[in-house]
Amino acid sequence: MLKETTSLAQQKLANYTRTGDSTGLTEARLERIPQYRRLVYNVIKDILGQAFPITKKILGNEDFFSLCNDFFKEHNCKNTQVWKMPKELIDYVNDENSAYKLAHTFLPELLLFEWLEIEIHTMSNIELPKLYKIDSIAQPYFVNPYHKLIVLQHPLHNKPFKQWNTNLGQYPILIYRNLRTHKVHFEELSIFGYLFLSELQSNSTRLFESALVNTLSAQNVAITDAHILSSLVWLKELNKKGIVFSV
Amino acid sequence: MNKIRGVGLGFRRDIADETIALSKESNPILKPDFVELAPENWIDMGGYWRDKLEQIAANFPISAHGLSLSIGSPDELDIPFLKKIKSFLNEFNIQIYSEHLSYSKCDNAHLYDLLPIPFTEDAVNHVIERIKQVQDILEMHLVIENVSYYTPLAPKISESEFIKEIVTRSGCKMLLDINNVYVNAFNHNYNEHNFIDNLPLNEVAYMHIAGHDKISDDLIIDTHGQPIIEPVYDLLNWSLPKLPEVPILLERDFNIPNMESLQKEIQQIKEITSKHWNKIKVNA
Repeated sequence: MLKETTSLAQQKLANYTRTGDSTGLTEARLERIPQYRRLVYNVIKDILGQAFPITKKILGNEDFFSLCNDFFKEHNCKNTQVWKMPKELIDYVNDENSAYKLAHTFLPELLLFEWLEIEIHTMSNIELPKLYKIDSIAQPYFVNPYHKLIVLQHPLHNKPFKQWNTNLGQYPILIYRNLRTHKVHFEELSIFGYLFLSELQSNSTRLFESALVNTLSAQNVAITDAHILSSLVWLKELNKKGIVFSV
Repeated sequence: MNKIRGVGLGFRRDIADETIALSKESNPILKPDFVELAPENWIDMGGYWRDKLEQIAANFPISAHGLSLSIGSPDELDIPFLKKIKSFLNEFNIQIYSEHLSYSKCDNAHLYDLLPIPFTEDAVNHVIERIKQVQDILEMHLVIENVSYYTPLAPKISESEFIKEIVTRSGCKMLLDINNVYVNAFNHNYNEHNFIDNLPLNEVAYMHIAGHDKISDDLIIDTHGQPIIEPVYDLLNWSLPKLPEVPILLERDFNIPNMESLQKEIQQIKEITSKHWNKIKVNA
């Protein structure tokens, strides 16, 4: 059992590294403790800077490092694995009271956009079934498991920064990892493409045709031969890109 | 690929391909005998880096050196994390798992750096209980490293006494970091030889050696960002006759030079160890 004086000394040093407040930290060499604060913040700034290079560039070093400081001071980092820690910055900025979110409305989306590239690149491997080319809409299918579908409000994937706030809309995007090269790719989608891929994710029959029928019926559209034909063409394109397969 | 001996090199992403390529090095004195990695950096990792991990595991024995256990923390031990560590060690047949005698989590927040535990009797007892808990879960010895520190924190006993009590009473093994001894002796103005003589040397199961940065007349920072300096090699040379034959790891985490430079350091370490332990054949 730790004595209160021992745990208190540990808490005060830990708190100092985060806040710079050395009040009550008496039994330490005060001229040396800034080294710990510097070392801790070097790690935080390095990891966040590597995870969010676009955010860092857009905010500029001063504002970005200010964000890093506030994040680490105010937020209790939960992750034992430091490379997963940047995801916690998204939650911090998404807080409804976040001054950063109020000042930069695009920030939560931009952080998420950048983080997803890391998340998908590093997703744990899972065993895959034998995969085949798509020849027919009647086939059972398999969706590349290393992917995320998002809908951005800001066109931060295809427009310069100055146009982000003036071009608000709905921008569906698929982010996926190539099964062979492990590289992460970004694919702009139509609204229908987004809905169809969402249905492919959740459809219990794992049959293309069923997923197509469900997608269309959700929009009160009856399936036609034209739908089948155009969907097959699109699925074949996705198949070539390594996004969807038949099994 | 599980028996760890000889001189190893830290496996880092920056030099992953070059390290994997060393498996084809024909001169044994220029080749690491094993690699060490931080499990936190590889657990759950898929895709490209998982491939690299599998490649290194196919070519070298691996030791694991943890970062986030926070054995000296006032917070509770993170049992789900420990179970992940155990699973990782089992998956890659890793026989050595070492950690730092420090804390890196407090008030439910990870700090991602190593803070000094107060050298007190109650902290000794606290750490011993936690080491036993860790060893029960992992079903193996924990190997605990003497860490570098820049300020003592509320100390009541000496650093060597603190380490000795913990190692001997917990039943764990010790990782003797030669560079950390040198750094601490300089920063806290004590004699490094006396310090080593006061450690439980029979329990040393693993060693680290590295470079550092001297940032002022009275302060060295343990950066692992420079080549090993001669006084640290000298301290290694002085220590080895007192120690059982154990694996030694060259740490280089920042400012990483080309592989030839790292191989020269591996060579120098092997030349020193071969003088004392006579197990590593050095080509003249």
